Amino acid sequence: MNKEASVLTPDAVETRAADATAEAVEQSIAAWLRSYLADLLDLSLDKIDDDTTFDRYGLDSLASIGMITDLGNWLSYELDAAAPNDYPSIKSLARQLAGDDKVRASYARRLGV
Amino acid sequence: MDGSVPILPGATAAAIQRHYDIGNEFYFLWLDPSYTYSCALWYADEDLDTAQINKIDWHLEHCGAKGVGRLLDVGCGWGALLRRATEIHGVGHAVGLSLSAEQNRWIDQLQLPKVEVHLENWAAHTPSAPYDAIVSVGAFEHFARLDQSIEQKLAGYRAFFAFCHKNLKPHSRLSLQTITYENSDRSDFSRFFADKIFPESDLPHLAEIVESARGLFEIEILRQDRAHYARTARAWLNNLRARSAEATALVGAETVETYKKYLGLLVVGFHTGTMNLARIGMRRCEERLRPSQRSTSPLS
Repeated sequence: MNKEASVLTPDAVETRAADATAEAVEQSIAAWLRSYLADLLDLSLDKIDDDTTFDRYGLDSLASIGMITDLGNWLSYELDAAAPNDYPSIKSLARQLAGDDKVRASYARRLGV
Repeated sequence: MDGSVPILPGATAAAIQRHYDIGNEFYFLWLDPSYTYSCALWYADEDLDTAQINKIDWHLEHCGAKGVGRLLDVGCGWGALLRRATEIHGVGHAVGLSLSAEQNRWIDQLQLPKVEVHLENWAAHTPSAPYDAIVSVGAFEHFARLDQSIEQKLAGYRAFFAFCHKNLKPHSRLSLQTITYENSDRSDFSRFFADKIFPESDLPHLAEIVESARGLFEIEILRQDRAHYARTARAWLNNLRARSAEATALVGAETVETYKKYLGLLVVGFHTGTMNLARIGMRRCEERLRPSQRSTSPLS
């Protein structure tokens, strides 16, 4: 495996670059969500857990719509209102959004990454 | 209560007007060009405009309106169904009821030759002749209030079906579309909805519709289309987002934000199944034969 990995085909290089970008975007979105929830719930950042579901934090539908709207504004990309219902934790939502090419492209344009 | 004043179940005209009379121009920014403010119907990948026409045609088919003399539309909105019924489906005369003054004014100025519209609750409507077909799309949501007991709520629904039964010719049909509670109930009804969006309104459960129509209408077809409403609400929300600046100029930033939240809640509610969307084609039940009449029945 190591030997193969050291001789990367152009496709593999591109895949790795995309993975890295998605990972960075995922981390960035996760950090934004942690900060948003900490602020909303008046908790310190270290109390926010990436795997805890949004409803465990007490977010109702209206609050989750507010969150996804604000996240969309930050990303300059209109996100689906039901995304936090389908991906109900910081980790799953950040991963899902970072896996979307259009979200990553908008993030890159917006933040000059 | 002396019998001279009809009991008007559900939301008052003032409550209806608080929502629907924000201004036609505001709604026209984000609805489809026929100004249809209810769940559309998709068969494939049509655009919203076509899906709204699909919905209108579905109801006109299932209330048997094609080519009939008289059609009633309870909660006629801005008149898209009345117009299509008379212009495309050969309905001779279409009567619309709406509690929204703005919607009534809009339909009046269209001067549609075979259409009349009344600013009137269905319970107060006394037609000069019975109807061949009745349709009601997106009005049943306003036929009960959260402050009513379940018994009062069911009595109001039953009064509506009795009204339709009384004013339909024998063997005629009613087509109904309404949002329902699915995996939720009135205790879950959002305060935001109750205070800011639809005051004096409560949703039915499907079972309450079926129970209150019992003996008055038989159900011929039922579609449960919550995914269609999530898709409709997404389309409206995208339209409103795209026209935010114009909308803000018309009604102010606070109202625009309120409507974005409301449309987002519709997306979430229908997507997750707390709410559903029922389309029901019903046929008027005929009188049961009394024993003295049975001898004339071909079945006797």
